Amino acid sequence: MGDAYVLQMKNIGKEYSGNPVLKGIDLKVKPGEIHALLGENGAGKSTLMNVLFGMPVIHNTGGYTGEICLDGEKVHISSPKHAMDLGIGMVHQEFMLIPGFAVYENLKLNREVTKPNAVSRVAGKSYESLDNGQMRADTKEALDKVGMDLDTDEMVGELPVGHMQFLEIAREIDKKGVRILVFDEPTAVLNETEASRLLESMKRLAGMGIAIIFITHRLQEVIDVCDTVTILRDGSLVTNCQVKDTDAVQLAEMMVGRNVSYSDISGRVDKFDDSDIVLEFRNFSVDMPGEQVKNIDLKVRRGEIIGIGGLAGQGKLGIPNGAMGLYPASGELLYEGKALPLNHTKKILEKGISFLSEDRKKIGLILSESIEDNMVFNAMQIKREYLFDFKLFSFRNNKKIAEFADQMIHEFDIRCVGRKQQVQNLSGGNQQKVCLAKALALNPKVLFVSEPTRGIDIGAKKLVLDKLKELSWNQGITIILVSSELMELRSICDRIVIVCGGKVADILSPREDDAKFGLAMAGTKAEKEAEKTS
Amino acid sequence: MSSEPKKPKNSTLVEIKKVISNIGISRLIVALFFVFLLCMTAKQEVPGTISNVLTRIGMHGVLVLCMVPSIRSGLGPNFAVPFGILAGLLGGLIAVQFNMTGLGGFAVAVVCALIISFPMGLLFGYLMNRVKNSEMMVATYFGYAMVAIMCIGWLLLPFTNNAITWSMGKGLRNTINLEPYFGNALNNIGAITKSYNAGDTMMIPVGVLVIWLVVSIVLYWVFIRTRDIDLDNMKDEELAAYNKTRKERKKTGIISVALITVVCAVLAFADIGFLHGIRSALSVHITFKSNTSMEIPTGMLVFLVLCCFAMWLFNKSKTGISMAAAGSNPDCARASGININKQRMIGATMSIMLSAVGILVYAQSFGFLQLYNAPLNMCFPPIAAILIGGASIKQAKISHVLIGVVLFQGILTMGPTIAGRYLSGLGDGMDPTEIVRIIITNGIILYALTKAGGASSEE
Repeated sequence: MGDAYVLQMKNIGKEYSGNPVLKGIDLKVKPGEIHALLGENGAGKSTLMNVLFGMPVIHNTGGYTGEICLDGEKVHISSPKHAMDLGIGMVHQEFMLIPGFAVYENLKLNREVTKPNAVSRVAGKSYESLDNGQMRADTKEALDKVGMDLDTDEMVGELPVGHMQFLEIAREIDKKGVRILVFDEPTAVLNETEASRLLESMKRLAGMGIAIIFITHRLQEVIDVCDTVTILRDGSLVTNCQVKDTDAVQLAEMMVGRNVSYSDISGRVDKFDDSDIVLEFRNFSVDMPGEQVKNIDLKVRRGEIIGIGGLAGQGKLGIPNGAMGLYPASGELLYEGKALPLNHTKKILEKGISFLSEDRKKIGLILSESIEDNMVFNAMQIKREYLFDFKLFSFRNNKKIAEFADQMIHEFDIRCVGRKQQVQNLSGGNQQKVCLAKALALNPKVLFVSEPTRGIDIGAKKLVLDKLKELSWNQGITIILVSSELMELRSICDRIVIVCGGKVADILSPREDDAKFGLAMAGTKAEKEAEKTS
Repeated sequence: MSSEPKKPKNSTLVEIKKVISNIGISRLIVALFFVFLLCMTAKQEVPGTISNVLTRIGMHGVLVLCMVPSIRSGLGPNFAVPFGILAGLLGGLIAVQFNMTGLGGFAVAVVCALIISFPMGLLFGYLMNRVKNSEMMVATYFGYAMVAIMCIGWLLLPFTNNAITWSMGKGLRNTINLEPYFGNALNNIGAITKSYNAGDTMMIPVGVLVIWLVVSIVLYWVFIRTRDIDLDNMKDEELAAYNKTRKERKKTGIISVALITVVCAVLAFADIGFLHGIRSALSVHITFKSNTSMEIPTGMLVFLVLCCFAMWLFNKSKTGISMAAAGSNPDCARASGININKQRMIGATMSIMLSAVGILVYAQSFGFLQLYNAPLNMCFPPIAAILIGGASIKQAKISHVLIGVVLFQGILTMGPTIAGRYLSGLGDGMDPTEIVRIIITNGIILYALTKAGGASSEE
């Protein structure tokens, strides 16, 4: 029976410098089967695929444990080239195409069909001339297989984005002897019709006996086209099962579920209502590359901690960045009932709205400056504090700066050798604390916090979250917390907004079921409701 | 790579290496060369060398200083210095046209130069905002092009003073003698002149200097330096204790350095009877074989120090801080509501205005205003100087200016005389010192530019 599988990954384990990121993962795929690989960001999907492709990042960090069998034969895949030779293909999320080349040239890049000529007979194979006719024919064939009718001579740069994905697939098909194809979130950048066409062509490929591993976040697609599914969570295997035995709700639950103990959830669910709105987004869009926000409406209640969650690339980061004017925004943003000037960072900061950026190294801090200078920078520029203020010429007030910095270093337990230390010499967690101090120096009324715990150690994580909670509970600051860690949101937020595809998918209480979160993140809520009503 | 980081065997060696990388290996080499040249200076040349070095430092200081706002605002070193120089020359010409002399003439020249250079600076800033990421290259071409255009300008400008125009035909002279106008106007304020006749002796307290240097370095090493500690793996109490002792240690260190400085100064200069013996023992004695003299251009040096102080003050101001932020991390500054382009405008304008003043300081000491192609030669030396001083194309401090101008101009002044002494046999028609000067100047410039990363560049 085992021989029927084209690919078997058995008990795969992998650790990066002592941290296990994959624990005993099993994955089996039969020829002609579409196998879904599900999991949140960071669940281990990419690492598992890196193992399958023999990526250098795996081998440079100590390799993996467990075994991989192709057609029942044990193999050790040593490099991406090796994986390709074994018939494993990958359709990338980012397009790896040259815009200035024609379709067939891209498809045949570095695998050109050549024919001998007079020179090459003397000078060797690399001087052979291109067989453009044959290459066009091959391209046509591969495109047909994907179900794509395209002029082989068209420039790739002039094609719509949707078509590029098909080209990528056609290129993989064109490689001889492809047995397994991995699709890494191919539908993420496509619109609905393009996505359904892609799913069509996936089915067609499977019909030709190619095994497909399909990585996606859209549960509906899994239900629609996949035969079997593997779900990963936090590097562990949740389940291998048949799609027909399950449904979207169950899948979502398995993807997100962590058996949250309710004592961890501190949200003040019933304390706030829509009678006192501090900030309101109306028809608000943000053009942030990779994190588009499309016409959202959202009311933020005074004094609450509102969480914004969702998968990467769905637009949750766009909300704070757009609101602060760092990326072009349109629509309306009302603060205390009055419209804020969009795309005008200074005026927004002056209103008492502060921002803790997700990118602390690039946007949050000036790495070459000292801790104290970073902390008071905004307050100095926006509120003219920490200065000897002579209106025209204002000089820094070293004493006040030192007082504030020392107080913050003490309060946040920032590990440093003094307030004059450069922030680039601090660890991530301590840098984040400096960022938080910088945001607080403005005495904000509303605080946007974006990914505050990304890349920092557990101790600092707890301190930052506790501090945020304290700010809201004791000082009444309204906090909009954006995070990709759902656990984090659920532990301190009063309400959680899940965004998907740049829109608000659902607004949930932190005590809501795992499944609801999972469905909202996968963007299936709307469809479910539509089903109910019909 | 995957194995654990090895514990350094000899931590002192590692720390010394760290200090060297903090100073910057290029700066260290240049500084050692500077010291080497100092040692090579023959006894007879000492007074002359001191006057020359100090004069050249004063002459070039402001031009080097003009790099600071441009680097801090994110434009990189100001390669368009010749453009600013044009404004300075115009200011100088106006003062000469109206026969203004002395300090008043210089002041009028500076004011005119500032007025003319202000719109020019704005224009330059506007241009720089249009060519982000290739500021340095565009600025170089722009500066050179403007100098070329002004070559026509010099022919057409309606100046009438005979000292400025050619006696026959149209146009302005190549060089205009400032001696009757405001030549040496700054230099002469409080200038110290000391003459030595043949047979006179001079004491240079080299020993005291060496003692001061050695003791200061030791004190720095023991008390002041920030030690290499593992912040994240230290226990809280350990870190607290460390920080407490560090503060106290640093205080002790600074007080002792100040003390030893005072002691050494007294030892070297104070006129107290019983110290003479010690001083004499610790000094090098020079007996002059011919008449010689030493001049210190106090006024010009004070002017430089004042300019540096003003710039330092500006760097501590709200505008100065936001300008530096816009330069070192534009994304962060933008997130703080700072208008990056405006800050760059300010930096460019300040730089151009300072370079206009700089050329006037240079000219009054040099004694001539040089028109036509002369400004082109003023472009690279200041850049090389500030880079040697430890600045990078993204960061510059006043200390970089001072260290840079001392090292660069010091070497340029001493190097050729010393090398010339060994090459004098070769001179055949051309002055060997001049050849050597050119080689050394360009050598240092090249070297400085290759080290544009500056001191303590991250690894």
